[in-house]
Amino acid sequence: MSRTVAVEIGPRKGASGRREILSPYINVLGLPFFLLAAILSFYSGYLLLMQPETASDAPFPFWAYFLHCLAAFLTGLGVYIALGKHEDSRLGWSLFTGVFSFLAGPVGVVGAIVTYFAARGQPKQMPLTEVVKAEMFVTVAEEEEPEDVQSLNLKISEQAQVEPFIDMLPLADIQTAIAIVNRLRERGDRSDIEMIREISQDPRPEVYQYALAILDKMEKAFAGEVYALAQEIKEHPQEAQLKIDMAKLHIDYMESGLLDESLSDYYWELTLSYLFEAKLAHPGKPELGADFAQLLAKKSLIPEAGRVAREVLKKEPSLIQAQLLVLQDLFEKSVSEEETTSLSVARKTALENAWAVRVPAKRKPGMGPTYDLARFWFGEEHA
Amino acid sequence: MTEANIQEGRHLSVELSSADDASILRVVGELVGKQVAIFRRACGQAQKENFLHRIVDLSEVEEIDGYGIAGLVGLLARRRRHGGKVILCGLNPDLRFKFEATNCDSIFKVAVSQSGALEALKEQTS
Repeated sequence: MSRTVAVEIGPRKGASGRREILSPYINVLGLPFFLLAAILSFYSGYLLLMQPETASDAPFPFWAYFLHCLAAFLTGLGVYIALGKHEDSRLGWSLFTGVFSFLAGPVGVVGAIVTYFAARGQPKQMPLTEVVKAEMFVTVAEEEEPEDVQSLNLKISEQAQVEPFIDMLPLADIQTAIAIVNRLRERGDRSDIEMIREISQDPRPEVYQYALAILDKMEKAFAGEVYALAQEIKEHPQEAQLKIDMAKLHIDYMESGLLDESLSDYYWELTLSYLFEAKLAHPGKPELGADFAQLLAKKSLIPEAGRVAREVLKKEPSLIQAQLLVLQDLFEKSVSEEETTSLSVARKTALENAWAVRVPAKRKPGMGPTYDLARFWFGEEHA
Repeated sequence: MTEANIQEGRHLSVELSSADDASILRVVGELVGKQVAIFRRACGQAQKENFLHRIVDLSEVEEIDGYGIAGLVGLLARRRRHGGKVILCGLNPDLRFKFEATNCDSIFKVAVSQSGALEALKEQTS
């Protein structure tokens, strides 16, 4: 299940990220037109009301209708002049208020003017069509899904949400493509960053340069953190926590999707180095062992990952990632060796360890496929 | 033989030989920090010899750190990609302790000596 979200067109203005609105600027030259339109409209209404209903030979009130039409025209003209700075929207607003005045008489004129003033706070940066276009492209997962739609194919469904957008990107105009890049950056999941990498291959210079600039900014943020931490380690080489932070930072970088595939082996080994340094400095941290197992699994070393995870679970049975790696190892063994024993062992292992793994009853923000896998194997916590 | 002193006061050399279907890398010195690049370079040379498996003799390694262990795990990952195996031999108690502390004792097959490693390899591949 997904919901659509609006995205912002154009560069962000300030940290608040709020959409730009019609400025309070009004060209005062428009105000006399409003005043004149109101007077004429009310006067034409007065003339029409004064018209005797029974007199069959009374002339048609051309004069009153002329004044009414003139009032409607002046209303539209007033809006057009008042909106002098907003060239892209003033014609539409003046037509709207003019027609409204024409159809509703004096009340319409006043209503149109009031509507115009009230509308000054509405978004003007992104026309409605742009919002609709952007919403067609970008979707995000619900933070909390209903119980009945959770399944093991979450990963596939997440891909299904984002893959079509890559195919449709060439159809999106430049502003929309840039808005999508901004939205993806805000979300910042691995799949989002990978998508920005895809967008950086777009043939349009405005789009690919923007995507590359965003990637570069994110890379620099990581590099800055690594540099700062490396300096701290240099100053305090005995501080185990700094080494753990460094290892975690590299794991985050590997997970971020920023890493180029050609460098993945190098960074994988570098991350392992920091992880081992952290483990040697702080041997009593089983979650570092789980991270190691996870890194092994990333390089398809599943049997090795399973073995490390088993060792880790002896010290800390509640580490859900390690539990899942053991099950993955058993599952893959059953598939590769075409025997079902490992599968039943996996089921038995999960049942035996379910006491240790506390899976929340509801998905919390940021929980990925792990949540579904854990629920599949271990059930849910009934607090 | 690949040999160098990358870090001041530290020394590492790696001798390459072969037996059966395995390249044997005999590491001498300190497998630490930037020195690990020498080990990686030796692994690259072994790659050219087209032997499937690797035996790493660590009996003359005086010291190892996180970088050194990562270098060995990296070798394991690359070999596994090609369907090969990596067997370590000659670990002294200090190295053994560090392998246990990093959980690497559970991912490497460890033999006492080169001949033991070759035997283990034969067993595993037969």
